[in-house]
Amino acid sequence: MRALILCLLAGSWLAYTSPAQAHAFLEQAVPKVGSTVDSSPTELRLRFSEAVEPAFSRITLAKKDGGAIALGPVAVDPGDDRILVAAVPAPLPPGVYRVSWRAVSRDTHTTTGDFTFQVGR
Amino acid sequence: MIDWPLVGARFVHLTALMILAGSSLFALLIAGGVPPRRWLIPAAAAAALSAVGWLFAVAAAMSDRSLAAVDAATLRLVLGATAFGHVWKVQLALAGATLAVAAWRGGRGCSVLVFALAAALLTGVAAVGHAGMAGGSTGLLHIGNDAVHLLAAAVWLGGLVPLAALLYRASSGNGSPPATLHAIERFSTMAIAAVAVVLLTGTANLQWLLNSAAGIASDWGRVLAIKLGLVAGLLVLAAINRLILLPRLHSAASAAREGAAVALYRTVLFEQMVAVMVLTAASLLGTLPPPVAAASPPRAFQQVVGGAVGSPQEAEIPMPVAV
Repeated sequence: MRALILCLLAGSWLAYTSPAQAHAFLEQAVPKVGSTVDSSPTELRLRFSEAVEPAFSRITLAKKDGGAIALGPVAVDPGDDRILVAAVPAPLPPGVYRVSWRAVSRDTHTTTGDFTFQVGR
Repeated sequence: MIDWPLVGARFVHLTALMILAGSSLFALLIAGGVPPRRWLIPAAAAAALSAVGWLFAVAAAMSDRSLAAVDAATLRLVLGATAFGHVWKVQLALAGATLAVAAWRGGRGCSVLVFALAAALLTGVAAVGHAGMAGGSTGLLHIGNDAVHLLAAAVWLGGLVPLAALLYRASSGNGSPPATLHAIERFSTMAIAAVAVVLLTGTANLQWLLNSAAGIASDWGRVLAIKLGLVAGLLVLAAINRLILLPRLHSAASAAREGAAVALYRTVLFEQMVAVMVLTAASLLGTLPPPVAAASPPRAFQQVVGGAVGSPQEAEIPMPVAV
């Protein structure tokens, strides 16, 4: 009887656990990955699969065939620590842009990636 | 690419904490006394030094520099502005306190304090590991589960160190046979309970980190398989001790008793070697990316730094949902 209760307790404990992730992967972005937007964005927002450390995470922006474009400091959204935000200080002229990111997750792992978006037609 | 400095720091830290927790509990519950300071002090010193090493390794990884290039500003930023840093400030303070307590001539109170501090330090290890990623109440549950996993492993594997010392005395004809036998039997029972907790909490950890069978085919999955194989080996050795060698200690003939004590001593030493390999695998696992669900968003254009998941390529994949 005691063994049965122990087994039931063990089973319910295991059933309670659910999968999670351990590295910050990009889930959503504004502007969207590969999208075309009509006008220049005022900020870049990257949402990851888990909380990120703004102190060591980076977002860089560059014209697809040109130089880097200065962005504001990287911060996390006050309402969601999975979202990195960087302001775009000056309006972007029409063209294709590449966003590169390096995200350090709360459990100290690093991921990198990049995507492009287009401003105007 | 494996971050060997981080793996090394994790290994030394974990091993030292297991010896501290396991041998102090052994002294409190089994052998009635204080663990010898000649191994408490080196273990506490190793725990403190490896905590500093772990901080440097994380600072190097986070700031994308070499270990030698980590400066005071980076360390301040890690300690002051990251979740790891908030935990690690406490970890460094507790590791220092453990060294002070181990060096202090203390008796039973010293054993209680060392055990409590080592348990707190193992919780800190759980908090900065893969268990700590969820945040909120679920995150606390993961951390609690992993902390219990580490502590139960410490009771089992860390206890092998004072057990070997006890068996060494018994096999060389020293120590009182009835008291030694009693202690070994009590440790054996405690270790069985600890193993049950290790297996249960380990399975719960797995449910969190491995959400599809396909995940086994990753570096993380392969190291996990090796670790589980080693644990299975440990269980076989423990069963040999418990079922074959332990009954022989009851033998009437003193020569047979001493022979059994020598055999037990040897298998316990062998168990310690396998335990070191298990801790090496555990230290490596903590730095590798656990497999993640393939169902969620496209990950082909993302890469894990220091791991081996995908590769960056031209990314023109539209995201499924807008923020």
